[in-house]
Amino acid sequence: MSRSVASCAVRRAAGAAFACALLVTGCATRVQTESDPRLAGLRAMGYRIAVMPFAVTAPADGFLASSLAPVGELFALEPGAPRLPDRARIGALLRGDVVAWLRQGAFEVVETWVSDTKLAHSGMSAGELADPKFARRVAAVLKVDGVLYGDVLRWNRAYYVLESRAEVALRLELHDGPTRERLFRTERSESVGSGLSGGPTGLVAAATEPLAALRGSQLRELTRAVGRHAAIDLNGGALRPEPGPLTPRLSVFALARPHPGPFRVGERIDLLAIGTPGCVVRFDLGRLRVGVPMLETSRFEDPRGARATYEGHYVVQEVDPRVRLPVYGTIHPAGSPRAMMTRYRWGGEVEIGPR
Amino acid sequence: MSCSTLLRLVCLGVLTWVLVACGGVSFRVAKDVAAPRSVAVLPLGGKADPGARTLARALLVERLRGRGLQVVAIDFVDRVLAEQGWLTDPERFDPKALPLPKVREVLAVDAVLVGHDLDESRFNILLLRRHAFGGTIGLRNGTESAWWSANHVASLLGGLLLMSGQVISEIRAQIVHGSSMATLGLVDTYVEDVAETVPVQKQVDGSPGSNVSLTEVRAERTAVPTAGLERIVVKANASPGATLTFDLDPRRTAIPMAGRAGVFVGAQDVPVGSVRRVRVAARGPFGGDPVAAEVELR
Repeated sequence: MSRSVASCAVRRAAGAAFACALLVTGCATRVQTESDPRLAGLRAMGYRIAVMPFAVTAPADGFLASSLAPVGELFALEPGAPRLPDRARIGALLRGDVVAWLRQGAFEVVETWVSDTKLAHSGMSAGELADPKFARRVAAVLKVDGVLYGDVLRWNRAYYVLESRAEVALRLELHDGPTRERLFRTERSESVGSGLSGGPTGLVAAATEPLAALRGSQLRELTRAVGRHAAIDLNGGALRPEPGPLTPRLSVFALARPHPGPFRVGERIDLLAIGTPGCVVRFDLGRLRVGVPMLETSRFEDPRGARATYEGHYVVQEVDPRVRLPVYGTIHPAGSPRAMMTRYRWGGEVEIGPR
Repeated sequence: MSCSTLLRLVCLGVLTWVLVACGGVSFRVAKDVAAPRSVAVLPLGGKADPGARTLARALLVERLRGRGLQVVAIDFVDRVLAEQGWLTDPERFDPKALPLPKVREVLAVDAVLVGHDLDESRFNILLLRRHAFGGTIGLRNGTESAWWSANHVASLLGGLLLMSGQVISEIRAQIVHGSSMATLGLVDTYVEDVAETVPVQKQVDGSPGSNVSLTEVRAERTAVPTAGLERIVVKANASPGATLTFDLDPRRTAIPMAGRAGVFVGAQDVPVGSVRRVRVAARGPFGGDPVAAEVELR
């Protein structure tokens, strides 16, 4: 009796361990990062970088097409016939994602179409553009401080009957233009499994769920995640699209003083804001005049936190149209031009009147 | 009606909903309309959150450039629309009310991208959930004709009823359902899906953004009623489609200038004697690197 109880307990423990292993391997992330100590200081000073077209050294995956061809039409999990994407498009997709995320960080990133066009006219070969040994020449052509290289190491789906996995791996390297020294390197891999690793499953799901995981949307989501996390690695900190407790805020944003009637030519539209000190604050008059600077004019301590007053103005010109416009204010930390920007709308409207 | 019949009808309804939700992009390319070279993406209309529509617009600009089209900068489009009185409140913008032939002429492009009815919807009752973003967009050349148009909804569908017992996966998905990150992902998916249907255009040599001229930059001090302040007035001539800003010092930068017919002017009140140099920058309609000039204040 005791032997059967013991063997039953062992089987249960093994089953629990196996289930935990499945849960753990369901989603997997591997990352290796190396960063030069000087990079943080360069970021704070507004380091300007260009992002080169990404190489794609991911191995070709022929297993999917050969084993699923006879039944692909029956399941039709993707619009149209299932096919592997072109390798060059994978690199462009990830490059675009990384550039978009980096724009929410501390780096100043050159528009890719501008850098691509200039390099196309520079006479450099494709091999030179992908080789960090030529970073100095690339930086000189593009007038940037650093050059970012990327390589898509894996972009693969694999099907194992009751389990399928999608994996995306990316390597980023930042090289300083003048010295060609490598300032940063990250190699990040993220994968997700479906089927057995998705949890308790019925007979139908055991057959269909692994195929569902091979949808293009799975790879797309992994691609976005890898691009975002690699950009976070390079930025040295989180990119937060939503205001959080540490994001700078404005507690007051309004016209500095009441103004009867419309603003006329030569008059000032004065705005006042109170909020987090040491930030860059600007205001927009609708979309007519955007980014008018507001300067910090005073600061005062408060038990709830320091507060600063910002003031700015726009002088109405003769060519300004006669129109009523909403007013928006923006605030972001001084060292991070694109990270954690918060936008506010004043409750009223300003009217620009007749000349 | 028996329980089994009712159950069959419910399953049929769910299956129909799933098939509809998983549909691809419905698009059309007119063979009898010339393909545009230059386009402007107008603010997108609809009930979706303004932030989501702004993101979709910015992504569309990038994606269309990737398809070989020359796309003017968003700031330029908005400024011109505002100067013409067509764009006052960006959160209530309705592209259907625009005179498109005149808009295209003023923006000096071959076609304008118009988007309307962009909307976001969420639904989650644990057994079934759906998060969707979509609408209708089209490239119009100013007449009633659209060279390209698309109607699409990008969606995330799930719920325990549909996941066939994949409890762990569904629990993970429930956490992110309806979140702002999920919205970002849906907007990205929507733009990527519709942009894929735009026929790729052959790229032309040269950067369209570099064709901007900046001349006769000058600045002067004038008196103002407020004691201790003076007004710096900055003037410059530039290409009619240019966007000009000026800098007075490291804190007062990128101050917008107003312009008409290539003559631009801007002003700021500053403490007397605090400014000695003014830098003016001009960007073309397509963005790109600015052309700059500096002047000393006498």
